[in-house]
Amino acid sequence: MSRTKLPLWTIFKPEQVSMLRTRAVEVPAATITTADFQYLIDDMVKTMHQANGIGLAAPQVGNSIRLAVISPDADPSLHQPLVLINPILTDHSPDQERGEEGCLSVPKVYGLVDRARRVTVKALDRTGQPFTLVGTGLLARVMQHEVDHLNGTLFIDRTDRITTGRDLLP
Amino acid sequence: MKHRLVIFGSSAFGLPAFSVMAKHPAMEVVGVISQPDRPQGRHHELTPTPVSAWARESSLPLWQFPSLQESAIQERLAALRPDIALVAAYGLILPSAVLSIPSRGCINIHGSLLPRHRGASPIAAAIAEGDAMAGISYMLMDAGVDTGPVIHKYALPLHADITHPELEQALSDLAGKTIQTAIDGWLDGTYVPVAQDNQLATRCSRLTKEDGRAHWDSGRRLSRLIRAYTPWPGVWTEWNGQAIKLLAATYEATTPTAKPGTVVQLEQRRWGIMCGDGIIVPSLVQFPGKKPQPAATVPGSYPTFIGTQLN
Repeated sequence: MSRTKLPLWTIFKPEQVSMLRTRAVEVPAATITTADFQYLIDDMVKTMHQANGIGLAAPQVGNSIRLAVISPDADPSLHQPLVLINPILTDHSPDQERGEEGCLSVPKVYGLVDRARRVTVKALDRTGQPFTLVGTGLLARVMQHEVDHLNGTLFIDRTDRITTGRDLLP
Repeated sequence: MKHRLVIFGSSAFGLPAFSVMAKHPAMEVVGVISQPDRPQGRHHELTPTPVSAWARESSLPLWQFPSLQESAIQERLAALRPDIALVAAYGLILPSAVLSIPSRGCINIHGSLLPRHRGASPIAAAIAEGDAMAGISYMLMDAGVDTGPVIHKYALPLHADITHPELEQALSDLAGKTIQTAIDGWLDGTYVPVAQDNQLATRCSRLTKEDGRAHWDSGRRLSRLIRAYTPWPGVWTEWNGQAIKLLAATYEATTPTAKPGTVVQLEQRRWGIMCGDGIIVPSLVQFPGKKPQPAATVPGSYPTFIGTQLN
């Protein structure tokens, strides 16, 4: 099945700033199983892979709803893309890790961000079933980054040092 | 139960955020506090601040106190029984007696990523210092100057040729887009204010005309100041005892071939001013009593200007 690659919204386009800066709304339970919504999930996964992203939130492709996808590259335990619908961070470890982040919505900008090393996320999966996931390291970082997106927050709001992006590049 | 909100603001900077909060279903604006109407322009007509004008148009209760230091005024504010106050570009100090009135505090929208650029000219400071990022901070005000804990920050990468009016507009819009999330997050406990790291703090003071005087040691810095200080105080230099404004210019890194401050002819009709680290090439300048003019027309109008040694 070949899905459509979606246009990526960036904060460098003034008309796209609102989408990336406002709090996204909850996905109604009845929406989740509709064909359109399932297509959107698949389109986002394809878009994420093609852009070499490790995570993608719906506002980044112009949908102000609480949906994000995360690449299996984020953690060895993931065998397929992780779909988070209406995610909530319910717990986080007190210890933080500093790491370099970038973002498809802020192209060519990278920075060091302190994130909780371990977080617990509650969300719905793509069939609408609730689940709880504890992630550490990179997965924890990506989940925090994506949940931030759904609240209009970008990694640049949390960095105190802009970097070259060298750590992230292959 | 709606939250009783008081707004403090004068310049247009806070308007996008104020408008959003005035429409917020959980908020009731019980007072808008702005500076008094002041004479402005050639005919010295009494002109309301942009926030006063907005409050009148929106039929919101407006108070224009000349200062907040008197106890009678503070009692008047307390009588509004505010739960929360929002402060942006108000221009007067809020004394401790006022800060303690709203039960959920006074929240300031500051035009920088605190603790960087505490003080009166944060937007100019971000451009002048060549920062990679600017932004806004939602700060719970305390008695110090921009020293309170920060509820949330929103950043904006700066492109290399941004000017003060452009950045001010972008930050003002950013506040409009983020205010509701930030304030709701504060009220419902999602965002916990974090104390600022004083070690990383920098200060910026209110700009004066003298801040705009050109120094020729660094052209790189001068080109940033021209963008940071437009439209006021601008960057200017003295020639024959009169101020010439450099309205727009680019910096070119070259090995200096003359004393810093020397006005040198370049190829074709271009000219520049030598600096310690290269050359500043103006594109738009303004001579006293004249309209702004393209730099290329200067040698024609002022033949003796080329070759001058500026202080």
